[in-house]
Amino acid sequence: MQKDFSKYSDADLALIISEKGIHAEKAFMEVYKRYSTGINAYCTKILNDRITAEDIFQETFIKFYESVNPKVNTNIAGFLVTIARNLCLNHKRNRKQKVDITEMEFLSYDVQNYENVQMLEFVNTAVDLLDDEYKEALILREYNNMEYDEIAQVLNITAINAKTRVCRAKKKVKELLKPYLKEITN
Amino acid sequence: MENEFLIFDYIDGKLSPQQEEAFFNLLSQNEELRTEFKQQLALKTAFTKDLHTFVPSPETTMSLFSKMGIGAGVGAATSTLVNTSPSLFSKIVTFIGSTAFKSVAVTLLTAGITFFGLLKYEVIEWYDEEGNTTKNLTVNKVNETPKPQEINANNNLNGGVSSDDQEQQIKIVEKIVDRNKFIFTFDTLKLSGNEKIKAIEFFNSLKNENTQSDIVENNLIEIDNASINPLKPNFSFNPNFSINNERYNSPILNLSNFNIDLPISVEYTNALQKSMLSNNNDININRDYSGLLNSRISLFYNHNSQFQFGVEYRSEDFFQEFNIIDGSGRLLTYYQQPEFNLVSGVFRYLPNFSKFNISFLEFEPFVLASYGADLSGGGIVARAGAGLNCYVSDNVYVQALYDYSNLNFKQGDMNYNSRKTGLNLGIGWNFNK
Repeated sequence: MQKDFSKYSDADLALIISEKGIHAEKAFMEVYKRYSTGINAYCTKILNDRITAEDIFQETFIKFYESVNPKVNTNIAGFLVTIARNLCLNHKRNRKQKVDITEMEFLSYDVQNYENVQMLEFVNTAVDLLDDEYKEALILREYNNMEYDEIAQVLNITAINAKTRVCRAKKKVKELLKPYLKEITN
Repeated sequence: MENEFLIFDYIDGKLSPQQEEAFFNLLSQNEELRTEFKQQLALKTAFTKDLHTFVPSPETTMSLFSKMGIGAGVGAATSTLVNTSPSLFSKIVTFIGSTAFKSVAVTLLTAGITFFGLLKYEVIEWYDEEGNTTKNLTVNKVNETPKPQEINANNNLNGGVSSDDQEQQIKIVEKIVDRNKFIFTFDTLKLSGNEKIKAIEFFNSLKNENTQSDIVENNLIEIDNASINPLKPNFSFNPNFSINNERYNSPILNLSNFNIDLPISVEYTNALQKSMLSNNNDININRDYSGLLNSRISLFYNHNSQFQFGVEYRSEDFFQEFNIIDGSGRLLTYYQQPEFNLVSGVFRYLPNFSKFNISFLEFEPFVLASYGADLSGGGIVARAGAGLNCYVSDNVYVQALYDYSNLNFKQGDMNYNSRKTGLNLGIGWNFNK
């Protein structure tokens, strides 16, 4: 019978992949299915560059496939984010991140419909404008669905601190999007 | 901040029932908190929607899998999951099933039609043998009644012509059996190609072995130039018929008179049984196959008795498994079993050392390899197989071929393989055997 890897836990998948047996590729595909979107969002938002982010994204999964150790990496999501984070940091060392505050000018455009696709761009831009430490915590929480203790582990901070960072990040985004959120809530 | 944490925890589902009740009480009493709650909900929704825009593109996913060498190996991996073999009963049921039954029926029907076609146009010639002595050498003399001569096949025609005959001029040689028991019937059909060469060799041997060489050679020329109706049947039946163990002495058919003498062979086979090596046990694709599906037609150039080169056309199906990333980034696995129309170049080796006879049947084991492509661009196929030709007459043979096929096809940038093995049964016709 063909194995249904969607029912496997992260730890089981990590074990299968690490053994590099006949099921390793399918196990990897299951991991990819579960976490690729979040990792892609993380890379893209952290780097603010889709092309570079795509390279980092791919490299993340390649490194994961090559180096996953089920005894050490029981939390696949955390391990993937850690790899992506390190790769992003390495990349950013050679590049001074520059966010143009004037991008926020378009936030003054009159947008009536929250469902408008443009709203997503506003959210995206608002997240980009956060300080790195808050942005990262927010992305891990909202885009990678990580628990606060997992975020704390990746960022090497306490869980309370992680929660505080996420909260402050949301507050900042909310302030930036205040005019539109008012529209929605009224 | 405390109230915001409360809102976050509620949205994240972290509050206990008691905490939720307290939270709702607070909401009902605090207008500002309600507004904050609505905005946080909207923000949560915005993040969720935004997340969907980060689904990796199909190109990104395919590129990654290509870099990692994943995809081509998926089919292989799944094929190894096929580990349970069906019971004998299920095999029998499968064999009697419609596909196999149709295949057998089509093969038999084709064989029947082919044989009828041969019978319609061919001259059937029976001949006899008593022990090792053949009575088929009949030398007719000019203006005389044909006078049979007995020749011992193992004695190289020594004494084949009597001293009385030597004094008479030979005009027409009706039928000659040479020392290898090739049959030449000069009075009904023209000789050409190998048979003509054999005949000349035979006459040359007569030239060396008796004194009538000039007369014999003239006769050959005269016979060769004779006006002959090639479709005129030359039936003869000898009630003393017995099975001849020698090659080409088939009691069923002797088609040597119908000698097109082209160095080619044509074959038709139909898949009797096939095994889809890439097929998962838990995936069954049932299709209503037409009888002609999984059939093969080949045309060979007979380079010599051992090597043949040719082309073949096959209509057949392959089980395919491949992955596609859809527009929303989901990885979908497709299973299908489409029909292919494949044209291949074929090489076949029929080693002389392995050929053998049983009774009047001649068996020729062979191995073959082929390489070709689907006419509509469905993929590249490579094949290897082994089989057996069984000649039931000079030119006609039935064939059993067991082969392994590997189809290589692409989906997007990814390469996949489909493999199968199968038994093919059919019929062939060698024009210049």
